[in-house]
Amino acid sequence: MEAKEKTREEVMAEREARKKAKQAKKKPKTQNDLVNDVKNSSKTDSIMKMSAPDGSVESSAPTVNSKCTSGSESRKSTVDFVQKKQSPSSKIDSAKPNPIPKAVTDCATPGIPLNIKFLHDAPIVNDQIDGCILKERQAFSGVCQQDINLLSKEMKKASLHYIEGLETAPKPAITSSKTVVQVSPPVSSKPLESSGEPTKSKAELKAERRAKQEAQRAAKAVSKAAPVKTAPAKASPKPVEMKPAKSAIKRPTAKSDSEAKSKSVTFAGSSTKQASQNKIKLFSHLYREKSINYKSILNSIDLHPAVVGLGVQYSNRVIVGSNARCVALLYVLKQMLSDYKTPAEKEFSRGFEAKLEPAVNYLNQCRPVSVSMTNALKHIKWHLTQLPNNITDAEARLKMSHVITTYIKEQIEVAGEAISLFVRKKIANGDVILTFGCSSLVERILKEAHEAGVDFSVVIIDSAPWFEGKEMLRRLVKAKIPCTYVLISAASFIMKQASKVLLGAHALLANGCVMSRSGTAMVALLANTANVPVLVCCETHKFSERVQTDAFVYNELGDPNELVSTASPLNGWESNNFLVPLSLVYDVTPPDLVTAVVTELAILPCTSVPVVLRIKPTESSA
Amino acid sequence: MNRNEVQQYFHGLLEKEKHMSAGIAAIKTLLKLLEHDKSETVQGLDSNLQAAIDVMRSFDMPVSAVASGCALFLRFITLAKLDFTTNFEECKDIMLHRGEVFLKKLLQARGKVAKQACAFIYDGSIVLTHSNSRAVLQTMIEAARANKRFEVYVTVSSIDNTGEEMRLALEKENVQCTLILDSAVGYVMESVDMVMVGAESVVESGGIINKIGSFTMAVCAQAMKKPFYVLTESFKFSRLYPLNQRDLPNEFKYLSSKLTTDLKKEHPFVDYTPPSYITLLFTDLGILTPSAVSDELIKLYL
Repeated sequence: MEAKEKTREEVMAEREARKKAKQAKKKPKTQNDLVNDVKNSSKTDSIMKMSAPDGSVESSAPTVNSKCTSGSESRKSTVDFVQKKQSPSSKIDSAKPNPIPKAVTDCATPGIPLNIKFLHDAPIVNDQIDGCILKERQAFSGVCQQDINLLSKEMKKASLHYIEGLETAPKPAITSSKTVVQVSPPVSSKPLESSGEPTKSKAELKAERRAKQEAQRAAKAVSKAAPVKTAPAKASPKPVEMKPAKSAIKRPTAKSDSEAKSKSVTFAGSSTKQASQNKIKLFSHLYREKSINYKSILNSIDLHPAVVGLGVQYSNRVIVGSNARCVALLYVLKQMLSDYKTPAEKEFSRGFEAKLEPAVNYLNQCRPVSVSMTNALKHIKWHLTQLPNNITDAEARLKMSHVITTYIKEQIEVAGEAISLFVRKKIANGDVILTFGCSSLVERILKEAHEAGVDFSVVIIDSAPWFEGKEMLRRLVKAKIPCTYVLISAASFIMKQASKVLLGAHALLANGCVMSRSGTAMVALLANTANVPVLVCCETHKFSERVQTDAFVYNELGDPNELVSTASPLNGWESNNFLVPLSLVYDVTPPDLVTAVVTELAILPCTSVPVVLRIKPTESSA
Repeated sequence: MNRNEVQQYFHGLLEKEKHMSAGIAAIKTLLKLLEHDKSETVQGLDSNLQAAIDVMRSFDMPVSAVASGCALFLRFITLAKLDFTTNFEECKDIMLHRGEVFLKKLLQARGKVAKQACAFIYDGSIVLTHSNSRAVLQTMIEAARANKRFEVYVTVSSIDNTGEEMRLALEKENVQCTLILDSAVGYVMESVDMVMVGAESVVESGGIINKIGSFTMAVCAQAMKKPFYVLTESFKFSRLYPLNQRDLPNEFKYLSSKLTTDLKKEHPFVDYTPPSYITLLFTDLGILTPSAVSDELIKLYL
């Protein structure tokens, strides 16, 4: 990204400008955003409050604010994204949750451009990241170190003030959104013209999302602040311990985790109770420290900037989908490789492995590493160990980048092609294929089958909170495949019409269970009840040796705030002791609900996973 | 060997040797072809074999066993091709030799199956079987010769009433045998101890393709909680994954002469029994659960 370098200055300048124009700018934008007006009002409040203590903080406040407004709908769905991009003025319309028929017609309008490439599918990711790599390499390799120092200095200033101001609760809002801005400067400067440059739009998305997320949190904190403040005063059994001064400082904190900490200082008795009440006991092992300290991360020399960027993209759900995440990781690894120099008195492989570890840790912190990524990393690490000791850097780089390219090609692209061929034989004329959510592989299969002239229609089942099915719908309708879109609440009704169910998977476990986006198990169960064959499409690089019989042991928790819409009664759940929204990302489908798994090797029963793992080339298991 | 010769030879085998399954006959035919083939290259041989397979598959009979036998044979040949070194003649010799070893093994398969399954027929048991399966017959003969006293219900198996042959063969061995109508399967199910059927072919899911009526029997057996055993040789394993009855290839379900007519009005010859209805499969590879079939197939083909 050459643009990144140039715009760094631009960003600074612009920020200056915005600082001045802040008041003027802020008001119209928040008014503009009628959809979230309730939230926004509190949002602005929170931002004003946050920006109050110091000037340097102020500089970042408008950035956050402006992004809040544009980013607030962007999370709703990608369909909305596209519409918004196309006509920013029609924000309000597009942001409204579409009723089903409307969604269909919306997507059917051929005018919707593909300028936002939502990273669900491998090929797109490839393009994007390819471009990203080429440009970013030039940009980063020379200046990255110096750059990071600069950035972090800047950030330190800002975030220090926060930490001083908010003390016990390090607010991630500003720090993180600043990071986003700095990692990809074009974000804040030209949000709309970025359509031509996919990486920019990507970065933009992530910034928007991040900002929105934080702003929402902040908003919630504020809305909560009043009850929190008053509630303990009235209800707390030990009002003696309460220190009003401290609680006032603490007020703007949003994170429940950090809140718990800060509270334990102030009123020890009730605070731990509150923290545990905002979590569900059964899933308490899954809650993670959400706030990532980007400051220290950008400061550390251990992490390649591309890795930092990738982490932000993961955590903001800009890159989602097992395949996309894996490909993105591999491309970033490639970039790391090309920028890596063996330190003195170290072997190439040892040195690089040492670099790899903090990167993986960081990515895992951003979002738990997927099975596909784990397997890819295993593969890469194995090849690293196979490198001869006396190999030169250039040779090693060449070799490893070849390994990565082959992996992407064989394990993802060619595998997808093979699976597509297998499934095509199973799709007959007149079939009604039912699918859930958005799987890049299923999309590819359906598109290719359609191109091959098979006459079938598709039913897409979708569910909250991400409504990924809308993206699927958009893509399939664009390919002129007749589609029906229903929410999961209507699944049992529509299941009678289906003749086959095609599902994607996050991972296939060794006991034959399918781990996939939550909701999949329900669809499979319904299909089983209706006697509809269920085909799970999954490349063998997603096969895992892990065994899991339920979705509790290992899972991922989504942001509970994503379940809370403005009008929802869940609003302000953080202050309600009796209310805990839970957003599970994955669920586990038992093997008896799945008729067959389509892999690149063959169509197999679920129970053959261990056999496939056994016959797979030794390196992956080594 | 040209088309006609292949056809005649194959037909002759089926006519002459009643105990030979169609799959074995197909493999024998292919071996014969290999022996007499005059092609000079591996490719030429391949295309000749393929042509012969096409001839056999277009025979007016259910061909799933032929298909799996031929696939296995080709797989066998392609493996042999890899290690040929000097000339084609040598390669062909290797193939022929391997083919014979292979065939010998296959011919022993049914004996192995019978030996394993025989242990499951205990004194006083009542067995329900469907149509005329050679593996089941041999098992029962073996059990009878081991002086086990058991009773057999055999379905008539309409379309060709092959149940009659089964009854005759069993009565020859002094096994107490009752012929029942296909529609009486539900009626007798409560009084039997187990169900034993053969298979035309075993598919990758672990399910079987067998004479029409097997699926009905399997569903009944499961409803009445009776074990449903499948007795089959491993050369009937085929790389097919039917999802449901409709997904079965038409050439398996119907006679090849009827394929061009309106199939809705035709009666299918075979049905697919999904793995969830099968208790165990007795094969020459051992006694397998349905899920183990795919493992064996992966070992065989991948």
